[in-house]
Amino acid sequence: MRSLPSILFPMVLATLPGTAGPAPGDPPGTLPSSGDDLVEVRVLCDTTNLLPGQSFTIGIEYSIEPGWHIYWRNPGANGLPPEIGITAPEGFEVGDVLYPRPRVFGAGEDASYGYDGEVVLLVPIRAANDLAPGPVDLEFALEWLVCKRVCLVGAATRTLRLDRTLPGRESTTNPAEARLIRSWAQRVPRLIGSPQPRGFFARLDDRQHLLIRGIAGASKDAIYLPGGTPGVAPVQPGPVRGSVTNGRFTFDIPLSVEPENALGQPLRANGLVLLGTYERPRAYEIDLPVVPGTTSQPPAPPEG
Amino acid sequence: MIMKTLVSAALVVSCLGWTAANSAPIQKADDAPAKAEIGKAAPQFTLMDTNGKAVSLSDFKGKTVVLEWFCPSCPFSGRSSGRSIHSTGRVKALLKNMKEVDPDAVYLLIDSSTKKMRVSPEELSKMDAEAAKKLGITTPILIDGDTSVAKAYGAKTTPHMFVIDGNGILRYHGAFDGRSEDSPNYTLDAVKSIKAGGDVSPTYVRQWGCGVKTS
Repeated sequence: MRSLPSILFPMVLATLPGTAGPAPGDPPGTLPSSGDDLVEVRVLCDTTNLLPGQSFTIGIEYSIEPGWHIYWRNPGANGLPPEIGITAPEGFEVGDVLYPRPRVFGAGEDASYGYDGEVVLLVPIRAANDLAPGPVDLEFALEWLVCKRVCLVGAATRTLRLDRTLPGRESTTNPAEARLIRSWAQRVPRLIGSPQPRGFFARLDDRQHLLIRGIAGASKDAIYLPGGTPGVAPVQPGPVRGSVTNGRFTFDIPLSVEPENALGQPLRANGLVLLGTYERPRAYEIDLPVVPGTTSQPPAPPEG
Repeated sequence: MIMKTLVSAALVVSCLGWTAANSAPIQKADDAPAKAEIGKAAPQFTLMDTNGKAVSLSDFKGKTVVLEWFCPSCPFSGRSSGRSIHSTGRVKALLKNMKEVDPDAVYLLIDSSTKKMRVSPEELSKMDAEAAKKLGITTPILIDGDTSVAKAYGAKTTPHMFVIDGNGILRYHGAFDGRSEDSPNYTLDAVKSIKAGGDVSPTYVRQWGCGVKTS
């Protein structure tokens, strides 16, 4: 985690005469000078005390000023995902950040992906096996880019103190925060193949295509959001709308596959299939290795 | 890739004077339907800088030209912050290294923020001059008053970089660097490859930063 940014002088557009007015809905002179004022952050935890080796989940709750938004792990055409730096005692294992289903802001090649209102990003953690008695402090260094018409950087630090469970006692949960974390965990997309949808590759029109098929259920819409892996992207940038017929969805996404732009990383087709609504979402993570020019066997039609 | 296919053919701004240049829409120089893209001719332009001087891409035939999309209110760009490529010295470092590799290479900033910041081209020019003074920017800042050049190049963020070789061919676009001083500088790598007569790789890295608003 890099050091927190220092905002050294007030926003240019607030200091120069005759320059930008406030964004729509903002009274004159009220545009904030930093993103600190636009996003409140709170660290949640589903447990209050720990057993050695216990797995638990941290939630970083962002409460965002109306009209502004922060970004998903792939921000889309512009923006940056939030940065979450966690300093934990030796022996703790900190997992990757889990992102709930994002919203789409804008359209087409200018679309960006993120969250407005409230969102909780989740971080799975495993306590050290040799956890010593006494308090356990986890330090959080948080940064975010928050945008409306203009963008501002915000930053905060937080400390979470947990206790090691006394010998012979059970770990105790924090019911309110555990409930909130569980509800946001349900919005985290499931990986492909659990048990559907299915993705595979075909070579059509001299170009590699990503084909995805699955059961749409009651959803009338199916949207694919590219994950932003370097070297692989839909030929047409931005979200892709799938076809939904008889309760099943299909995507046929022509891909641009450019090994020279992969930055040394494996070529992967990565993204989300979004079904349902933002509030009642069903979302699947697509993450498939890409071998340029090859095809893979289409899976059997989905059950149901 | 997200930005590999760029829109529009060659574009030219009429440059009869400051006001005319910045209030008149950019006009198409020809009706060529081809889309500009990596390996193809970069869109032509003529824009006024903050000193009222007309600057054309065609002024630099035979030279490598680096374009950086700029915004005075963006904390990654022209607003002083711990993340700005200008206030953290990363642009100065790039310019120094670039001049060592290719003394003839040209670096231009383009600001297309009129719609985003709801200001006139003249007001934007004043803001940019002020930001340049605070950040010690000495390279020209060109005012893309009606955002047509941003549309033509498909500029999405500030910063968003474009590297054009001496033949006017777009060879790289995307991220300035990997967002830290010790990360690869893709812009410098492209200039080096062009100077060495080799292939540029990568030709595109996803851009990051504040959004460019063109509508």
